[in-house]
This record gives sequence, structure tokens and C-alpha cells, in this order.
Amino acid sequence: MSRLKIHIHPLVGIIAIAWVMFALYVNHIVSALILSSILFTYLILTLPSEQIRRLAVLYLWITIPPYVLLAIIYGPIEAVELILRLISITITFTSALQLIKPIELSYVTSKLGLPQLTALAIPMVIKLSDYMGYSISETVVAMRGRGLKGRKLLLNIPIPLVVHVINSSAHFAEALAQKRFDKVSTAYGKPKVGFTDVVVICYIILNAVFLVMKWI
Amino acid sequence: MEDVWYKDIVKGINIVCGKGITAIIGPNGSGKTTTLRLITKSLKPDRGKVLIPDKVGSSWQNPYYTFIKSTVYEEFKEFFKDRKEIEDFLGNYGLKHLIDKYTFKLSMGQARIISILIAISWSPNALVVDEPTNGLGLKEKKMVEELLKSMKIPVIIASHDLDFVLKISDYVYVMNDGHIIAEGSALDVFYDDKFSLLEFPEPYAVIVGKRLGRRLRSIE
Repeated sequence: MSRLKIHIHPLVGIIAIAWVMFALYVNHIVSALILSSILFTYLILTLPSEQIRRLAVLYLWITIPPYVLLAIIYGPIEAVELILRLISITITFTSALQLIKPIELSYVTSKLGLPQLTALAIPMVIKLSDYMGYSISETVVAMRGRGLKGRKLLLNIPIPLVVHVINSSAHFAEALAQKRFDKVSTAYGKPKVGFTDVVVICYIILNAVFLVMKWI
Repeated sequence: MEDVWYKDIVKGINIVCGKGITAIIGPNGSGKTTTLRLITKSLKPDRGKVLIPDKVGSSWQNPYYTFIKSTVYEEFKEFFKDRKEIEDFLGNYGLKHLIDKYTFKLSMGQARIISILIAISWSPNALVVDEPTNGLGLKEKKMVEELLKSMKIPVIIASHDLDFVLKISDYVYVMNDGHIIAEGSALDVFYDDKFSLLEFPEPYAVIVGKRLGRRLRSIE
């Protein structure tokens, strides 16, 4: 069950991602980590517990094996810094993209001059990633059911998946057509600025001011 | 399965599947598909034992996930010596005409039957089928019924189609909220008070029996 409905303005999401990348570039890891933590807190308030658990597992997979590898190559202290950068980027990307409404992102991307189809496709791919994960697990189960294991299973997984993607797209197009996509636009939603956006933007501005003063 | 638990979905169930057809019925979200996943070892139970044969064939709700070749003939090529054998095999189920069809263009009913046939083609020791009658026409339903009845290995199905379950199953488990609330032969289950608590529509044969003021002993 989801708890709160929190969304961020697509532009704020993009700015947040840009700021984190910039902060990491100029070695302000703490600043990047705080911003990613703010976004992640909003995400936790939004998502159902099952999805949070899955995200946590994803983060563990992203951090622990690379940490072991980096610790061997660069030593444990250096590895911590690199992993913090990695966590910061991963959390910011996943949180910002999950907090953006797809139709609002479509609106912004279309204003950037992208064709309508591409504008709609980007948020759809982001939002459907969970569904894609489900399709993969369904395919694995079906492959096992016909006696495929190991390498043979891995080699054959893409076939039903690709067909499924094509079929799903056709069904999706059908559904959109049923919703009179040609007459009443269901693709775009003009984004509004909310409290969450103000918090994120204020944090970025404060950090930017602090950084500029430090440089001066 | 012995005292098997899985998250909040399956809560300490015991299932024994002998030869013949075992059916699991229950409302949506009662844990039927998860139980089948545990039986095929696609999921690992949090607690309890699942003892199954090495080779378990399965066919799931979306049969199209099973296909990896472009035509029905190619799907069966690795399991049979030549085209003639495949034709004979499909012919047993009245499906010879599908041999050169594109797998991904099969109708839902045809795809389901072909998916079950693929699942049995690699000679598994048991067969698991989730919702075998989903999307099937009357003719295809009859075909699946005959196909499952002809199996010499234990068959486990999960279904909402109670008329189908009554016709083909030797033993039935009723699941609700992760628990098994009733079990026995299909008719015993459908006359069980716990089953009526689920407010499921009764199978047609049971309704007719009630109207005639009789309790059915068999549907033969």
C-alpha cells in the first residue's frame, strides 16, 4: 500500500541529478549524499514497503560486490569514497526518476523539442522497469518448465521477452486508441511546482551559493 | 509439501500429490500460483519442506513465455526424431494442422495447449499447469481435459474453473488467504461447508444435483 503521493517537478528532478553529478565532480560528496538522501526520503514516503525492499536489495547489489572489488584494487578507504559516489548517483537517479510523473516528464521533454513518441517513451521505459523485471522472472519460470537450464536458459530468454515487448506495445497502443488518444491528449500533463520542489531547489541554491563563496 | 511458509502468501500448507490430477482452487490472491511456484522450486520457501521429482514440467498463465522458436514444428524438433513423429504427436490431440503455424501468432487457446505439450515433451516426472482453461474455447477445453487425463505422471493444476476441476481432478485442495481450508475428492470439497464460505458459484453438476434434491456421489 502506498502511503503518500509525492511528486517532483520534472525540471527539479533533472536539476537535482545535474547538481549531484556536479557536486561529485567538484568533490563535494557530502552535498551530493545529502541531496540524494532528501530525494530518497521522499521516495520512501511514497513507495509501498515491498518496492522499498526491492530497491534496498538493488542498492546492496550495486554497492557490496563493487566495494569488495574496489577494496582489493585501491584499498578499503579509497573504496569507501568511490562507493559513496556510486550510491549517491544511483539513489539520486532512481529516486528522482521515480518521483517524476510520466505525463509531466512527457510535457517537459516535448517542450525540449523531442517528438511526441520519444517524449512518451522515455517515462514509460522508466515506469515500466518494474514490469519488465516481472516479465523476466515469468520467462525464467516458463523456460524452466520446458526443461531449459543454465546457459541454454540464458541464451533463450531474450526470444519470448522481445516478442512480449512487441505484443505489449501493440496492446498499449490499442489501449491508448481506446482512450481517444487522437482527440483528447492523454500523453501530457502540465507539471506544477510543489513543496517538495521548493525543498530540493532551496537546498541546491544554498549549496551553490556556499560553493561560490568558498571559491571567491 | 510439508508445513510450507512463504512470506505472507503461503502460511503453513501441507500438500501431497500422488498419481492422477491434483487441483488447487481458491479466490484470487489466495496463494495458488505461489504454491505452484514453490512446487516447481521457482521460489524457495521461508520454512518447510518441498519434496519433488528432479524434472517438473510446467505451463504458466501466459503460455507465450514458453515459446523460443518461430514455428510449432521447430518447438518440438529437439524432442522428436523427425517431422512424422511430431505430426503423430500433435495428431493425437487433433492439432496436426498447427505444425507450421507461427508460435507467437497462435490463439491463446492454441498457445496454451502447445505450451502444455512442450512441458510434457521433455519427459518430466510431474506436470504443473497454472489456470489450464484460461482463454480456452469449449473445444480446446475438452482437448486440455483429455490431454491432462491421459498423463501417466502426477499433474497439479491451479484453476478457477470449478466445472473443469470437478470433471478432471482426483483430489482437490481449497486455499484461502494462504491456508488450506478444505481438501478431499472434488465432490467432497464442493459439498463442504467451508467451501461454501468462499461464496464461489458451485459447479453446474452440483447445482443440478441440488435442484433434484440429491447429493451427487460421482459425476459419471
